[in-house]
Amino acid sequence: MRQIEPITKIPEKVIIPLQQHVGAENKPLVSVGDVVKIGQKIGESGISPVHSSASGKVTAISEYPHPFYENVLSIIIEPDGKDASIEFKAEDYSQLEREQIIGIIKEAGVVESGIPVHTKLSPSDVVILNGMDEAPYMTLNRALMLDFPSEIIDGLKILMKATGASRGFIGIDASNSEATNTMNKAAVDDLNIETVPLKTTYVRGMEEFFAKAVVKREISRGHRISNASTMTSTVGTARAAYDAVCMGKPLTETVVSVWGVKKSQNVQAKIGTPLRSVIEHCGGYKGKPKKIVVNGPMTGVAQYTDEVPVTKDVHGILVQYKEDVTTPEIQPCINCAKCVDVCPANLLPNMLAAFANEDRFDMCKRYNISACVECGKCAYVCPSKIPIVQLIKCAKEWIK
Amino acid sequence: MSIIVSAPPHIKKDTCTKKMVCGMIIALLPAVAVSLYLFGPPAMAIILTCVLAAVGTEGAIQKFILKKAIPTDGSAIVTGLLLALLLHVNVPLWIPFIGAVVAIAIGKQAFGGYGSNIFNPALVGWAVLTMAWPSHMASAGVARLVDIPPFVLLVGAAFLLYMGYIKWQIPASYLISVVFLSALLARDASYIFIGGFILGVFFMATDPVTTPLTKKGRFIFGIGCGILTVIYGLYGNYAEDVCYSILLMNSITPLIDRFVRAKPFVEG
Repeated sequence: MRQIEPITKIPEKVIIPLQQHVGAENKPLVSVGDVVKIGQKIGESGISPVHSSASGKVTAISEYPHPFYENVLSIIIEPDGKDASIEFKAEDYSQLEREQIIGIIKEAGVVESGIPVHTKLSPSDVVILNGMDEAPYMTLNRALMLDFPSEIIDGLKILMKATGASRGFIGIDASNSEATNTMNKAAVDDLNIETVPLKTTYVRGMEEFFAKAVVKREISRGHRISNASTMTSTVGTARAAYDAVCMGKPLTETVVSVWGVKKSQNVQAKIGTPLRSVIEHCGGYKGKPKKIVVNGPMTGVAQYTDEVPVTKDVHGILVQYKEDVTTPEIQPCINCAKCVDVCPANLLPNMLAAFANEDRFDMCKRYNISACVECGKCAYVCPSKIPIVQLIKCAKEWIK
Repeated sequence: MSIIVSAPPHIKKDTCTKKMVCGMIIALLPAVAVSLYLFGPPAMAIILTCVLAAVGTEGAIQKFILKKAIPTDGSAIVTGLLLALLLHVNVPLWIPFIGAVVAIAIGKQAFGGYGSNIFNPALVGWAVLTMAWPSHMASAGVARLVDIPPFVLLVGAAFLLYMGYIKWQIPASYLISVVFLSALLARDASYIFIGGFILGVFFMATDPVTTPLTKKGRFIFGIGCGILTVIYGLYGNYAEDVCYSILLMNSITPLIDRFVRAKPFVEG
């Protein structure tokens, strides 16, 4: 059974923000009234271009709400319902040079957590794909591996070729044997690619931590990877690289885990689809929504409107209702050290929060506040309900 | 549509300090029940005096001096129960009363209330009583409320460990270091099966507020308690070594944390 359901209904309006990566905003290549096709490059600044995900007429180029930034200049397209696309030029990656692959990935606008992927493709020994899902409710990596195993393996080979790596690993949650088996089957012909079952949890923003967990395990199994330079990416990026090179398709669609709606599921949505259309596809709201979170409950961003579009980095939508959104009273810290036990960066979160609360930013620095990746685990486990992450973020801003 | 915007995380675990305090009380209940069964009305009177005096003192201070809306969070009940269990069956009732008042007023509120105290409040009360009225606190041949079959306390301890309410590293390292050191010095270590010792190791040495945050620190704390217990044991009796060891280690908890902070994991 397919895990990911493509949204076939074309939305009434597609909003392509010109800023979908960290760095200079793209300049529009089209103007109001132009007719565009799927895959057509419509914004560029030399870093990471954006493409139209629908065919139709450009009705406006104006500021529009963005899931991660404030209002961003966006190209608004009214689809004509034909879904006509430009001609995609497929390539055989085994015939391509390293630079050519990097060029194709750049032109396809492949972005991962805001970083254009082609900038990550520096020479490495090992490519590690993250197949772990970040938090509760996010199941897209598992779904991707079950639905597109061979595409991901080919994508990994493309990334290996682009970095000159000789080995590729896919880190998968040890409890997820279904995905491990599927990936093993798909990679059976290639001795340089292996799956690695992991017990650690994946933390957004700690790619290196994740890479170390993979490399450490491989060393303990007798593989020689000492001081290997690693390139860490995700299974979603591998699939995007496959689409870019082997299909010639730029990044115009993304997989999103939708939770807290009538039919919670993984969907494949056109970039630019308003969250509202995605939620409607999943049966709509279960009641009166109280909070709409993009990208997982632990680090996600709460939205102020459901009109914001799906962008390249939207991988999850979580709708919460009145009963999910509580504001418990803050109790004094009792030193229980639950936050210390869960901190992936080996910090003392309760101390940092206490120092931040007293404006002792010098002490925050001494307690290595900058190592905090704001994963949210401390605030999640805190029995005193102290907003630890908020206090730490606030202190970081002050220190800047 | 009115939706709210707030900072992550957007979900919180279903634990709270109230639950942890309740867990502590539940874990002590079997011991209290068996104590009442074995020692009857005097035990009942001591326990009630301790708990009521503790809660009353905390309530009075929080309401009239600190003007807090909620006078007590229940942690005073735990303090009262722990103090009661440390007392002898035949003490006059003004002993538990003074002990509980001192425990809360000086052991806890003087330092800033629950979460800010340096010493385990019940042990502060106990220490003051022991030094002021040694005749009442060291009656030879008279049982203490905690002198009950040890498995009763272990049931409560197992509950606390299972629920994750206490830092397991402390009792583990405490017990191991006592057994190891006793063997090394060829001392009798049979007191590890006595109620008072188990109460100390699992219920008082593990008090979250007064023990180290760092993982390494917890082991050092446990080992330190173990070493001190054995050393005191060379000169005193088991009832006092456990309590004084924990009090002394409580006093250096911030120092331990300062010196054994884990190396942060930094990217790059």
